[in-house]
Amino acid sequence: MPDLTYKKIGKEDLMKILQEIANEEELIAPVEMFGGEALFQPVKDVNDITFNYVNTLFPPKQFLLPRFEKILTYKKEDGKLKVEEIIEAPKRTIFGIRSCDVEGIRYSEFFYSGKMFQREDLADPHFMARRNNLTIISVACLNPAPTCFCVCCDGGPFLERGFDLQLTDLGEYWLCEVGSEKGTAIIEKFPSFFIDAEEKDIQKRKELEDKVLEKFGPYPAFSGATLRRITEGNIPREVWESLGERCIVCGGWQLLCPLCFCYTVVDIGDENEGYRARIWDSCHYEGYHRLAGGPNPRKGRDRRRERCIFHKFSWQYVERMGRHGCVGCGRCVITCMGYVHMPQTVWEIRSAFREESYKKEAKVR
Amino acid sequence: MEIPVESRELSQLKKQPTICSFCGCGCGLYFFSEGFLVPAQNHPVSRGKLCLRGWSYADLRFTPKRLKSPLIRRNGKLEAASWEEALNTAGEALKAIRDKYGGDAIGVLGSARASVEDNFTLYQFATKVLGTKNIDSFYRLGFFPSEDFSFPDLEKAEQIILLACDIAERHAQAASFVTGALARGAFLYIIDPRMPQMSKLASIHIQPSPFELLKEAEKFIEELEVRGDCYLLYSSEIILYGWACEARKVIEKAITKGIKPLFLCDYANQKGMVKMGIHPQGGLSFYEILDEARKGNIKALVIMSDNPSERFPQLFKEAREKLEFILVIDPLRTDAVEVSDVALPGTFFFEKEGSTINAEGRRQALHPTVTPQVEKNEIETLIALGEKLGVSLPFPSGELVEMEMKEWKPELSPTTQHTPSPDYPFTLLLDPSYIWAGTAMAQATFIYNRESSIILSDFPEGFVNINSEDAKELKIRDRMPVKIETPLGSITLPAYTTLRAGKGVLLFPLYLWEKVAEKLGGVEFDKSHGMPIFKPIPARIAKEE
Repeated sequence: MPDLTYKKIGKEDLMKILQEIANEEELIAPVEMFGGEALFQPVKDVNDITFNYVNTLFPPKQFLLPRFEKILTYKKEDGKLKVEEIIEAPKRTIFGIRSCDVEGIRYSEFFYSGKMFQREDLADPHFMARRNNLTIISVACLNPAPTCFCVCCDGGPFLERGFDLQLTDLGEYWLCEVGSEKGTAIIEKFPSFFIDAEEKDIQKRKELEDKVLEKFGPYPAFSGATLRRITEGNIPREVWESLGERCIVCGGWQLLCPLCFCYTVVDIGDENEGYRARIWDSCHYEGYHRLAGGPNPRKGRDRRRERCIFHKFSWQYVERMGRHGCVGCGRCVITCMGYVHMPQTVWEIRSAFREESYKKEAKVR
Repeated sequence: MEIPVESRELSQLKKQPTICSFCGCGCGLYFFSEGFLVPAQNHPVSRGKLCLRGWSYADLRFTPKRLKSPLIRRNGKLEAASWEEALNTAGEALKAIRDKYGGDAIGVLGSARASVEDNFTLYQFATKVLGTKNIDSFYRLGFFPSEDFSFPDLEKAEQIILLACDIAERHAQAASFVTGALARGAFLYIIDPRMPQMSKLASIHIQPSPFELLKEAEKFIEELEVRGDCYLLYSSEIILYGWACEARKVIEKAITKGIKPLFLCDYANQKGMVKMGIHPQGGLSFYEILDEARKGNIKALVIMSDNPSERFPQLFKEAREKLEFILVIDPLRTDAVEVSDVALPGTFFFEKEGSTINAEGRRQALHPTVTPQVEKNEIETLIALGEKLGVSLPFPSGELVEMEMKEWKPELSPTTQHTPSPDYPFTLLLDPSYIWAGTAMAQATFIYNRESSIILSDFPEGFVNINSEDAKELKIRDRMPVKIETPLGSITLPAYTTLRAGKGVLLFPLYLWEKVAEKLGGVEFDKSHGMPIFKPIPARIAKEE
């Protein structure tokens, strides 16, 4: 384990600190909705925060890359077009975010900061402004949901990087791992609440991590096998066709994936006045791939799925981004309408080489 | 214009789910004013899943198609006006027409994307204020009065029959339930002259000639050995082919065998709308209202969230020329608003109190989860308009609405069918797919608008779907114009060669209905339940010279 500073804090003390933060800036935390599920929302009163959740269906990437975002306005004045950039980046702290989503933020940041292309001058000002103003207090998972498979994808349940503070529930205390200067700043701001963690606390955290690993459910993702087979490019066409037949093209997988960052832009307004907005898009949609004039290199659903998995698992992207494109949050398992989510897809890719019968009939698990 | 909702804790209401107003599945979702939504995970229908339409539903918050202020036509141009002025103008015009020609000279169109309560108030407005019997909706197209069911049960099914319905395209949530059932080992049987997406997953796919569709279905149901829960899914197709009466017999036969029928409504609140009395009750049906307007017998139209030009643009255009007055109440700036005399803004599902009934028959509550962008909702508008005409309308309270809720059981009569002949080896068939392409709801979104208009920009002149193998034999390539000859007349359309059309079947999309029917002698009509129909027609292909 790398050198981290370990602190601990009482449960009530943490709530006091969070309330202080909520008073000063925007605090984002999980809130219970009407149906009982949790959702990350701006919180004014810390009593609204729920701890009864594994993860939220809607990813907190919303606070870095909003689903709908105005990026510029334009106005015609005296025959000249006046364009103004809109950068909305309030100071924010996000509490309760899970490891997989922190890893997702790190991945998106790699793209939007331009590091992916080794061109930091190309950084996206909207995303980066919000990222720089965001403090991440993550909470490690002790009870994964049946849909979780982060353990197969290096996306959790505990992290070693990417967070500012990582909290682990030790019963009476929260163990705090400080991961960045922003994290240190919080500790220094509220020195009376934090105490140094003892060796037995750190030992307990390690034991908890080992225990969590045993609790993972029935959705293993064979990402290693998939990575090699995608990179080699020898997956039978039938696999993609079979997956495409079941795909209902809802795009929910990409919209909820904490690592997916594709967007499209729309112009709203007339020739004199209006604005440009950026909205989430999905590579499973036909219009995403359609070229001007009508030709579409990926008209079939199977081709679009292939492209998606290629981006997520091909070595050329892994090399550039530093990891493959799945953190195992399990959101696709919940939201996929055709039951061809990530674990299913990689399972079929892997089994295609084992079962000759694959070609004969569509497999549905 | 942001108007606060009085005495309501928005922070609490924000946590309540609202319902999608696209198809009849009725998915629950949490809607946020920032332009995003979250599928409700604990909702029995959505279960954390949404289709492309559902995801795009969030765009309605920022749509440039939103009608935000009342409009009045002055000197041939629509101009923004105050609510009071617009209500006065509309009230006076409707009063003048009612007093001069009588109430029955006014046609009223309700909507399946308005709530149950909105339709209740509209019905009260039509009968008590205007005194007209002519009340119906273009959103009733393809409706069939049917039994209630439960989507979650579908996932436990052992056998599923799809009778001529393309669920992956039109009822994605139903398709998800079916795929879920298949994942648990269910069997899927499809009886469809087309090749819908689900057909690849079916154990048996019977592709009958369209003329034999119901006969084949009856035979299949008779021979089927029912094991466990068996469901029969059907949708507007067989109704639009003019087989409502025959279909009912097949459905009854299925019920006696223990098969549970599921009718999938095409539009969100179609069932609720019909239950509130928006169907022909001694008066004219939606198609007849415009037809009579074209002849000059209907003088004014009151349209609530409906847009006749989506399905029958030519008919609406001709009717518009004869109509003296059109009032439209709609949250969207539709084509109907563009030709109206007075237009009043309405509200979306996520901006009002009320309820909606989905295809299952599940009545779901609606709450204003975001602050409405307009001053008045439909109910307030209609009640205010009633006051202008001197009648005070009741507020649609829960009890009142329950009391008025009635099932509609029209007396169906069989229609005569065209007979196939050896001279005409093909069958021209209406395909109610691409149902949302070009509609106001689709155009109001961003991503779904892009997706649904691909077919419109690929084939701006429309298209006829020809089976790829047939096309190969006839040496027809994509986009090549083909002349389709039928005993009734002929029409030329660009070819679109896919496997979607079965062998010997020529499919044309719903939005071309009027154009195709015009060349073949006009839209046919089933008087018994007030429904325009398109019977399968024998056809042959002649290459365009």
